[in-house]
Amino acid sequence: MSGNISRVDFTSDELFFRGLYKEYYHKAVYYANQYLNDYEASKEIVQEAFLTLWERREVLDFNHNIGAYLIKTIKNKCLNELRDSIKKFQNLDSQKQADLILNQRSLLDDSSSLIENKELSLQIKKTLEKMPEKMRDVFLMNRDMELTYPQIAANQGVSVKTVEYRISKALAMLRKNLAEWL
Amino acid sequence: MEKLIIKYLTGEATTEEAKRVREWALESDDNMEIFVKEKNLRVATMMPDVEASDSEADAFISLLREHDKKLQSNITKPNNLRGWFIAVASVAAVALIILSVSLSVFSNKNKNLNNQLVFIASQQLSYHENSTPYGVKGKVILPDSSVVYLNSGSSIYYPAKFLGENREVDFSGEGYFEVRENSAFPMKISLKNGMSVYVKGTTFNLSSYENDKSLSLLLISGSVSMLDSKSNELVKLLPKQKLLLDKRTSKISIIRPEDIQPTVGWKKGWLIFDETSMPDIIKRLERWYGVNVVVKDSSIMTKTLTAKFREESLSQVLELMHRISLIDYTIKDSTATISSFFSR
Repeated sequence: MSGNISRVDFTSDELFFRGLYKEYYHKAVYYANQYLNDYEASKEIVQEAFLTLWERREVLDFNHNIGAYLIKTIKNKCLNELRDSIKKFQNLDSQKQADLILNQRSLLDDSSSLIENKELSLQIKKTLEKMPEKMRDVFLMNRDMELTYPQIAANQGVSVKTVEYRISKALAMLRKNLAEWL
Repeated sequence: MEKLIIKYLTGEATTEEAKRVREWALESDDNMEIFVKEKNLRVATMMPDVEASDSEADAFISLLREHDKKLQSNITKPNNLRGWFIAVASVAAVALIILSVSLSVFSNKNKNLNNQLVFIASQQLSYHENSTPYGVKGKVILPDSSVVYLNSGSSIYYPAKFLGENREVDFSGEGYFEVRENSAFPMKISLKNGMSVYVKGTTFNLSSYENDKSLSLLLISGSVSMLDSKSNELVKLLPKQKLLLDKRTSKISIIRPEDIQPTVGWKKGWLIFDETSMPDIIKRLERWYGVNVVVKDSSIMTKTLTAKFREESLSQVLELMHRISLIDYTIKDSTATISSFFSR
């Protein structure tokens, strides 16, 4: 039944996956895109990963960390995709190929699972809290709302240079506070 | 080097600098290790902390249902007579289900709290029609997860699955369209007066009520082309431009309104009149409140009104018009009768 669904029509599985999708969709697309450098392919892979999980819902333990399972599925799909595109760019664009090789090596490393590290995300939150308000606002507009520097400048009524400065300061502060993870 | 890596990761490195970073990282395992840690920490730091919207999540659920259906139809491929019978029987069952779905749409039983109907594209029907009666607004999610907000008295007709060269839909009334980007596969919106709107991925407000004298399209973002099938004239709009078509003379004008709220405010529950003429006000009140408005003196039809209402009842709106000496009024059942303020 899908003529018109209202929330009461959802099965409990659907409700669970709806929540999972809300929480992870944008994060997952961002994550895949960081390694594939291809937004459309990233969206497709994330969609496929969700469908894979959906097909296996009978055997999955919903109480177990299903987010980690989702990220692992996406990671594997990205590695397959990278293997193919690295081959594709051979002899075509050596710089582009080198980018993809660097991404492949990064994704193969354990530190690519840092995104699931609760202590790290706590540390990020704490650092954000410590930032001057204007710096944090500008940083979050860029990171979470995906606004461009000129858009942020217009919104805050400051120059693009100021936005650039605040974001680079925010990044420097984050990197300094997170140095122990390097 | 560390500074260069960071520049590379933020996309600020020049071509030369990026090349240096790549070469340096590929030079040795130690270098690669440093690069990899820097990159992965950055990915984690810049991870956006945002949730998908409800409409995105709803579109995802209909995708899951479609997916299940596809799987099932692959499993139950009929390979003998009995199989055929089951297939026919299940088609009949589906037909029954569809009938009940369509009925429930029109019986208003699925009104939610905000007096909005939520439609999600059915995967079973070959075609689907969603209408909002007067007094009710709605929201439709199309098969490509484009979203259309319907103002009262609007109707949209679309296939369960977009096939062919265009994403084709038929439309009448007023809608706020958020069309999914797909440059290879434009959406074609056909209107009752023979005009069509072509879009690739845009947001715009389209008002094309059959009983209105003019048609309007306000482009919010992206690009839109309008084709008049009679004159074969193609008009392109830029963001923030509003096209107005006088249906009687077929004359097209393009303006750039200072404020877009009078056009799109309805989506957020605003009823806005901006030097609106009385015949238009009456039509809008009838659609907005689902009532009949009877005019006793034609003399008031020449008046205009500029006002903004939100969540006011019909009697509150008419009372304001009375207080500024525009009209007298009475309301009985679902009919409002208005007359000239000076005819007493």
